[in-house]
Amino acid sequence: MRVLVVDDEEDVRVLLRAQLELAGYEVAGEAADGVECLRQCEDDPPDAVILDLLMPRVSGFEVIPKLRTNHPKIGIVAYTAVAGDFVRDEMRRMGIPLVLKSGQFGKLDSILRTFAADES
Amino acid sequence: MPEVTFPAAAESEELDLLRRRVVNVVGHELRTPVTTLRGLAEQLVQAPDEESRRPLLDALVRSAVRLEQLVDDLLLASGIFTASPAGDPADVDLAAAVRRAGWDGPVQGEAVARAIPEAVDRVLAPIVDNARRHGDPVEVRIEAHGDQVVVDVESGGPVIEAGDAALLCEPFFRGEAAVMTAPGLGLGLAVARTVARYQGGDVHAHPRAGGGLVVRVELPRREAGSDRQ
Repeated sequence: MRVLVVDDEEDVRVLLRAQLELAGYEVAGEAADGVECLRQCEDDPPDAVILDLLMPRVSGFEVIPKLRTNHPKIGIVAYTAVAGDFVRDEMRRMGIPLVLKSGQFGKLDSILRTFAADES
Repeated sequence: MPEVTFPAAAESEELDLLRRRVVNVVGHELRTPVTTLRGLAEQLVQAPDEESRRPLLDALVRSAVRLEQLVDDLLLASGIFTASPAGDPADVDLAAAVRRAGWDGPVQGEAVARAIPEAVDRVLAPIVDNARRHGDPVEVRIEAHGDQVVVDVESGGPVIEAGDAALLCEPFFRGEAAVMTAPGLGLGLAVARTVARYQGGDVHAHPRAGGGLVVRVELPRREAGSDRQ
């Protein structure tokens, strides 16, 4: 499975890349904001996107409906440090799984596996 | 026994709102480097060779530095000035200081301030960073006014109300647009103002004509007449 990592924090991208590769995923690319994410999805659509929500230029909240319209097959998992009621409600409304940033990869891994299972 | 007083209900609600806002913002900003540090450390243990350890170690150091910076910013914003740069005042070329802060575009004018050089860097860094990341176009002007030198960093963007612009220099206040698109403690301008005031200067923000923001840094000027060529 090819996964695009989208987060404006370079260190978070470094960590996610290491975790993904160790778990056997292919990292399709990295993006530091929503504009770059959408461009990479147009150029070379991944199977899944790990998407930070608070980013400069275009936020994750704005990316989700665009990806849903233009690339409905790309699995999206929202990845954020803190999620209050607004964020949780928005993700629930859009049907996007939400993972709180943590040092551990288990929850992201299990969601990515459900995307892979849905594809097959 | 002293009389105990309680805040009025409206004041109490306002304080509660502020407390929740601060905890939310601080929690968000501290959580990212803390959880990243943990994850990076765990990955390091499993990294099979030097080549895979190197980027993890670099990221580990960056996250630790960011965490240290966040704590310093929090202390500064709380008025605990031990985090303010210490040292002796010196002549500081402001055009060079603006460059050190990360601005590589044109700078109009020049002047020399009398302040602790590290403090000037600390004042300018968040202002230039904000303008570079969120403003388009950006203009930087330096002038001397009487016994002060002034750096104006002007950046285009959405229209900001005068009241909101003034509040941007208050700790934890973040503009409406920034809440959704920009992580951060909302401390950058507050820290810049605090440090500038320790140097005998100040920082103000006001709306830019046509949208965006002008952030003005005032600092003490080098002794009168000595920066006139």
